[in-house]
Amino acid sequence: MTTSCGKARRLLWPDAGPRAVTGEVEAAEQHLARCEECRAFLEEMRHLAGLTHHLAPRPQAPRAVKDRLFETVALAGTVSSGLRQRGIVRWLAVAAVIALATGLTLVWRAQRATAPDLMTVFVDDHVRATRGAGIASSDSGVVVRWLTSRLPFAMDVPRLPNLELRGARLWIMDGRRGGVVEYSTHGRSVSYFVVPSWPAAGPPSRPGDVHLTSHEGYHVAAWQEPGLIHALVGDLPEATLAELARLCMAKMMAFLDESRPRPTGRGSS
Amino acid sequence: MRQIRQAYHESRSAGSRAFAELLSEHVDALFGTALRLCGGNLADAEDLLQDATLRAFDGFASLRERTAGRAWLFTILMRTHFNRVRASRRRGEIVSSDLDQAAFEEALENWRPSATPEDVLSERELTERIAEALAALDPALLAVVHMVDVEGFPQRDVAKMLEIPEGTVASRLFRARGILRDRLAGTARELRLRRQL
Repeated sequence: MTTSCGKARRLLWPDAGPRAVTGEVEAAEQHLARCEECRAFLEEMRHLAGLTHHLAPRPQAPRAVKDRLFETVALAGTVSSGLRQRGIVRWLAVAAVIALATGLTLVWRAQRATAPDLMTVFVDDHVRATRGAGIASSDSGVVVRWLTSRLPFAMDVPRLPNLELRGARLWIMDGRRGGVVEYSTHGRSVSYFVVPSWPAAGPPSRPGDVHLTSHEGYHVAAWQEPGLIHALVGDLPEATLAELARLCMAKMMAFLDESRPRPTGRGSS
Repeated sequence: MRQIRQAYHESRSAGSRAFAELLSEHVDALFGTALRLCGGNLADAEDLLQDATLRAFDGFASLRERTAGRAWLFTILMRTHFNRVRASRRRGEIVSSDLDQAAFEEALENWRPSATPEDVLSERELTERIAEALAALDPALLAVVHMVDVEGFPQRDVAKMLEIPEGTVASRLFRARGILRDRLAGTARELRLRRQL
């Protein structure tokens, strides 16, 4: 059987995956053994493929693009797929951002001194967390590194008794960026928020105080340090959450001693 | 009822996390692909990536094997892109570079080996020329050469992703590599001439 160069090259085209050894292919291989030009052709194809593979630029996604992408995914979890497929999700996202901005402006203007508004935000976010995007890991080192690369402040990932570390995600509101570490225990989830404080969050609590509140069956145990609000949110019994909060606070103090230069004049003892 | 709801939310939560994990593994490569497919337009690339990601999120439950996640994500990205292109241009599937078997064999037969350009071009120059050559390719050729040569997918997988025959993948690759080679060879020739002067 005679085989032309064109046929041999088509049959032996590189990287085409496993091919059946037919009579035609055997003839093409015999042709290849005696045809230097065909060998050069196949070699050049491989060479060009390798050149492109190694030298084609591979741009990385900018962080802002990634953030928007993962926020869209998080939002998608709260919207039905039918709506998404019709492209309504973007409009909903825009509407949600406008509504959120309007709400925050109103809260800001009202300068309400009571804490429940922020606590409601925490609870809502905790509920949304079941659909959120972030990092899923039970390794506290991995989670700390993930948070550290995304937050403007150092955040600890404390080991808490009977709570299993599940991962972390970002909390973003009105340009403020905070971190949320997620735990679970016996099918229940607990979120640990560390977010920048703002006026609507209410008056600063005394160091060591844990503020307890409830909203729609969820409990919140919150405390503050200068510039930051910490909160544990979940549907565990209030006393359990308060105990965890105190433990968390103690670990936070230890973490601050180790990792952050303590600001002067700070009453954190 | 409460238990069912809880189980539903837990499974959804696990799914969301798994999806986010899969996406974060491949987001850079997906973005790079989207950027290339959109001719370097960042806004269009982000829009395409968002669209494809939402489609993938919707269909994530249908992904049985996590190991197939990469190909699955790229398939959705490519199909989303080509659906958009088709919708906007209303053009046919067949591009001018698609060859039937006889024409492909004839084109293969006419190929003549050429000197490699690496001895004349530096790595930086080669990278620039390759980027330029890729950007100048017909979108159908670009999709194939990007998926096979840049991302390293097997040609058989790319044929499935793009819903075209394997032979068409091969002929588009051949054409794209030919254009690439001519461009690199042209630059190398220019440089040689400049150095001789």
